[in-house]
Amino acid sequence: MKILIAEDDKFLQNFYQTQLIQHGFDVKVADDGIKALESMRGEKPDLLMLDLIMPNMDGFGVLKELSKDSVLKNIPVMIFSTLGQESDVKKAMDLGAKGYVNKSFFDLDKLLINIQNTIQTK
Amino acid sequence: MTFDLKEYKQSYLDSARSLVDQMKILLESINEAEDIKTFHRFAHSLKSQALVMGFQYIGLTGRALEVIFKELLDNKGIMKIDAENIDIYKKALTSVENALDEIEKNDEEADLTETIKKLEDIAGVPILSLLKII
Repeated sequence: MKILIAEDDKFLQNFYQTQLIQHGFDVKVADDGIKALESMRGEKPDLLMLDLIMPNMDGFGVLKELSKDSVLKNIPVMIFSTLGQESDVKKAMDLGAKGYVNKSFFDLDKLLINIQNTIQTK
Repeated sequence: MTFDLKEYKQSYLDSARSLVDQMKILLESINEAEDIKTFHRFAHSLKSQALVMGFQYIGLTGRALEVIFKELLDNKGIMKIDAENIDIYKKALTSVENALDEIEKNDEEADLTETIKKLEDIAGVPILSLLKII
């Protein structure tokens, strides 16, 4: 199963990529929203895990672009939220995100369940 | 299921120190919206990295700075960047540096309650109370 992680923070990129690869996922990373869209147009992932605060194009910008793209709009998106981003999560869900995970409180079991649930919304 | 903290400790310390260094440099001449936006993003990363590693005080210090700089970014007109506040932000970052040194030596986080209280006063929203939910 292919997952694209759009996250500008290298430490968190590496942390989540390592954890998910160890559990059998094929994981790619993108440093910002523009690179995430480029990557998705090259190879469609089964799931996009999307940070909201990124340089160049943020997560909201990515969601808006995806909604306009007939090919990519069906790829499920799971938001990476953190402490204090509750209203941002609601806005992202309104823009089409299918799920979210709080990246600050790492719980692998919960993350794997969230991934399965989000992919099933496809 | 959990992860081995030690596996990520050094990369966390390197990354957090790099963030703090960049934030301190930005504070030397912060004025333009782009600088405030970048500082806000760094504070967001400082918070997220610390919390994923279980370092709550550094996480909440990052959160407080994130709230303050979001307010500045949104230009709500109440909060201003002045020399006195910049000094508080610099001291907060020095406290974070010391806390990172403590983690490196003893694997334990220093108590940054006083630092967070000072930032909380500027932010105007409760931050320390979040300790109860994380």
